[in-house]
Amino acid sequence: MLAMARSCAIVGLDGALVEVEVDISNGLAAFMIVGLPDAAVNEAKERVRAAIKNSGCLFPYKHITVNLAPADLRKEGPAYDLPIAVGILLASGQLTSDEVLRDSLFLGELSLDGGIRHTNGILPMVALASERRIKAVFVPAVDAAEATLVKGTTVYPVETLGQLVAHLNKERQIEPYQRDMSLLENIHEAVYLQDMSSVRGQEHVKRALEVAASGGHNILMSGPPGCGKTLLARTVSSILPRMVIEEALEITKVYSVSGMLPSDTPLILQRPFRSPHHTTSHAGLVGGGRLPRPGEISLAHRGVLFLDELPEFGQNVLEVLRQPLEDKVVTISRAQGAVTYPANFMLVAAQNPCPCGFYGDPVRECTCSVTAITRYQKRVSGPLLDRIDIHVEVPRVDYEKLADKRKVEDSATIRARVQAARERQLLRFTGTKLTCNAEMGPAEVRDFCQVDASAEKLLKAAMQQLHLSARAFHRALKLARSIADLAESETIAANHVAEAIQYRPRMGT
Amino acid sequence: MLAMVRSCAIIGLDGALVEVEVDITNGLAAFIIVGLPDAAVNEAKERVRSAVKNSGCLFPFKHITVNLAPADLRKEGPAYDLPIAVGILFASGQINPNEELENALFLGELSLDGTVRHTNGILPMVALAREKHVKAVFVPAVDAVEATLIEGVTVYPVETLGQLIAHLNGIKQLEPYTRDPHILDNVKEALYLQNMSSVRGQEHVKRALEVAASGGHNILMSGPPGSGKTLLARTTVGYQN
Repeated sequence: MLAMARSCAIVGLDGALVEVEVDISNGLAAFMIVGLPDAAVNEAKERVRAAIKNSGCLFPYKHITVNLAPADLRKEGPAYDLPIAVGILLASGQLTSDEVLRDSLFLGELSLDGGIRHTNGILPMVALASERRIKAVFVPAVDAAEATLVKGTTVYPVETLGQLVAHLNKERQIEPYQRDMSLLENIHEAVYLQDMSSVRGQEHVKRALEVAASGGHNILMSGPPGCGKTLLARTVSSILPRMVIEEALEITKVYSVSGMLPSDTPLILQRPFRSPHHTTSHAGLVGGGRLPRPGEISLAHRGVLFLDELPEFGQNVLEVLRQPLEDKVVTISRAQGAVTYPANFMLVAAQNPCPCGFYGDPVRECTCSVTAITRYQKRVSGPLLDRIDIHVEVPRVDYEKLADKRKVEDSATIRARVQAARERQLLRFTGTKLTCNAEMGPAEVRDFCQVDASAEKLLKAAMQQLHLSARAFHRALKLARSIADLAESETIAANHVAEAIQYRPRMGT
Repeated sequence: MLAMVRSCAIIGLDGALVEVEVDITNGLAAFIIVGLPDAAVNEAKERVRSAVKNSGCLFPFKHITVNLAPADLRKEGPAYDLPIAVGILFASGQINPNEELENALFLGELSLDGTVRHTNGILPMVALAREKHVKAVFVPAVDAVEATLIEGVTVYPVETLGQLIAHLNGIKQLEPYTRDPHILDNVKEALYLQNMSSVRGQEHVKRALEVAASGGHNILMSGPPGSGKTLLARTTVGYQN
């Protein structure tokens, strides 16, 4: 007898429909799984056999063939246990097929006693169901909260295989899981590591970070050791604007697929902050490995990727960042196909200007030779620097500033301004896919960055005298747009452009 | 018959709960372990079979399936020998069901004669037990001292599988290992490589090392060869408490 149950595979961050076909025929008793299963999927045979027996059903002692279609997609992980069990029960007549069953997705790892265990990647699978207008999904009960983050499909929490059989045979209904609406409202409640008020002095760096946070611009801080670059970078999370629900869902998908969702909440409530060490490998930073997994840039999606000691990162590792910085996604190609992960992160980078760290410092003398300085600065290529919108120098802080006891602005105050600026941007970009100024391309810059007369004159003079490239020109306009948003001004004035221009990279000596 | 016994895997420095599910059914005699076991875990089959037989119990000649859940976590190392053995004995009715079994973690490598051997990583496993409010852990007797460094969990030192079976069946109780309250006090009376008094002169370096040790500061010593930097470095342990 032939039967079919639907399930889902994860390709990158998206679900792909998998049809679990089961054929039971007379012949030598065997149980085979085809469809490029990995080791965990193959082990399903033992789990399914035991789970079916221990749920009070019969395990057919016949020739069983399970095909996980499409046949050229690698199947990984134990999520297919449940659909395989359902398929076998259908094909052996212990379950009756009907509309409901045909229009459902089944997902979950089985215990030998028939219990259904937590499985990774439930969120993208349910998102697929919603997209394909599949009416119901049957997921492990412990993951039901995560599944209900997506609307448009009914979520049935399943605790045991026996319970599911009783439900499908219309003996005892499982209650659909009720969405907890308050979960989505809690995105605003987050706890931050460092507060801006713990940093003394460095007013113009804080200003640059505020501009960066409001428009989502990348920023590079350069300066001698011990002046606060790392400390400031760690405060950036505390001034970032609130996430909207779509952003939270995107981040949650990445963490769900990576198996990194915290156990107490199915939704990531805070923008991520990732700071990988500079010995990170290529695959660790960007994603990949033999079985492609999201890398640091995807784990920092919609959040901050902090690269401290930028020149110490391997050169080939840094160059790999260029494309994601531009496209906001990373595509990993393998022989079996390409996988695309989102990588829309805000890059915060810190570096010393030379190996000893004191090049350009007014007090300490730099002890590096000219060739050493050039070689050090060459480690970060021109094209990569060009993709960073804000370049700011972090000078030494003098004693008066450090010892000053007066109150300094705290993160909550700055965040309020950043939030207001970001909301202006969201309003401006309704109808488009953009969420912040940094994402604008040349066409959008033309449409949205209107400058007044004096600003235009200033821009023209700057382009001619400073020899700005086209990319630098657009960058200055985008920054000016963010600065104007912070000043709550619809038009961009000359002082906004002036501030934007000062954030350009200073080349070499 | 079905049985479940809890054990632990090590990920990095932390423990992760592993549930050892055992199912024994009629059918062609087989012994299969699933749950992404590595070579050492797969070899458990031979060790468990011999240990069970040599402990005066019967090894069921049936279809035995062992599932180490969660299924997508790779299982490594021989620590699962003991829980698999307990699971098989439980599922074949040779250990009576009791509450203690459900509320405990079992860990340990088995010898063919049923002795429980030293196993690595006992400390993080017992730390996990405390975190998950598991009341008792059954560990190799030689590792019991390591296990008692964690408070709040009863540690049963197991020397042989037979001894454990007798305990779980209520025939002869194992004594929980009593923590030696003075174990951490003895740290002071240790033999150090070098004593500061064997270094002559260098008063200001010794003072710098004293400041470093007291505040946990990093220190760099710079100087010509043969002036005592390495010797001084080896004495620093003497200052720690």
